[in-house]
Amino acid sequence: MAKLNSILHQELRLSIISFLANVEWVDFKKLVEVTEASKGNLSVQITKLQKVGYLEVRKSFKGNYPLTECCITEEGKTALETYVSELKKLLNL
Amino acid sequence: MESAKSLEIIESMFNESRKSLTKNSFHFLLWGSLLIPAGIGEFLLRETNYFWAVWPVVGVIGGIIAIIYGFKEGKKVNVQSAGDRIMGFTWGGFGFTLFFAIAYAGVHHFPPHALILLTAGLATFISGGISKFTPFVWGGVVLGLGAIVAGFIVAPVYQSLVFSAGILLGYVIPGLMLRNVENGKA
Repeated sequence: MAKLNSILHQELRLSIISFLANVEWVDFKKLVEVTEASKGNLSVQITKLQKVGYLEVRKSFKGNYPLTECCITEEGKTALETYVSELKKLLNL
Repeated sequence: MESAKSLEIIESMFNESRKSLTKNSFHFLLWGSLLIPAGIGEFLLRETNYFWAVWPVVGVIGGIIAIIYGFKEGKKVNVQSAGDRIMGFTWGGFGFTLFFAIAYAGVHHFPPHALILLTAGLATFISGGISKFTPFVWGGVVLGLGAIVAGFIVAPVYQSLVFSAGILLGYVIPGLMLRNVENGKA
């Protein structure tokens, strides 16, 4: 039986990676808006995805305000593709 | 988490990210509202020595407004897709081509209308394909047809009127349709 990637098999982390898969970069505020998660929870999940190398985080300033941008890595894209194909096998799709 | 729920999340996030593709009617309406009167103005001034002056005037006014607006809006951008980048390069390339076509036509004394319609049509057509906004695709086709009419069918004196009509049908009307979509979203 296919085993799903435990890092991605979590609602918020899967939402983050799936959104990032179609964009080049996104800032933290936009991720809060699309995932409807709390800033704290989002920050924790982003750190977990960053630690396993699925996404990169860039910190800078826009005017006087701090800016956090995220983008998916090649490793993250491959992990999502593998996750989707395992999921399809599980669901007999 | 249920496997079916995972698929739902992936699908909804894919859709959400597609919605993020920047669609902005402002530039279509700005340039349309400047270029239409410019074409008509050129036609009305055809008997004078100043018929050409409408182009630098609208170019400077439009350029200043577009730069200020782009600077302000650029600060609000919070996501970028490959489509956004391609559109940026397409319209950037169009800006250069527009400048070149007007300057080249001025130096060699031929009307630039067909070239401008053609390049605007190409950029509009590409934008429509990337953003999946069909009115832009048709707008691009209309601008291309306008280029054929202006370049091969009508007498040079009427080219500026064909130009204004082409901009209205292929550029402003799709821009207004996009404005309606944007207002519906808000």
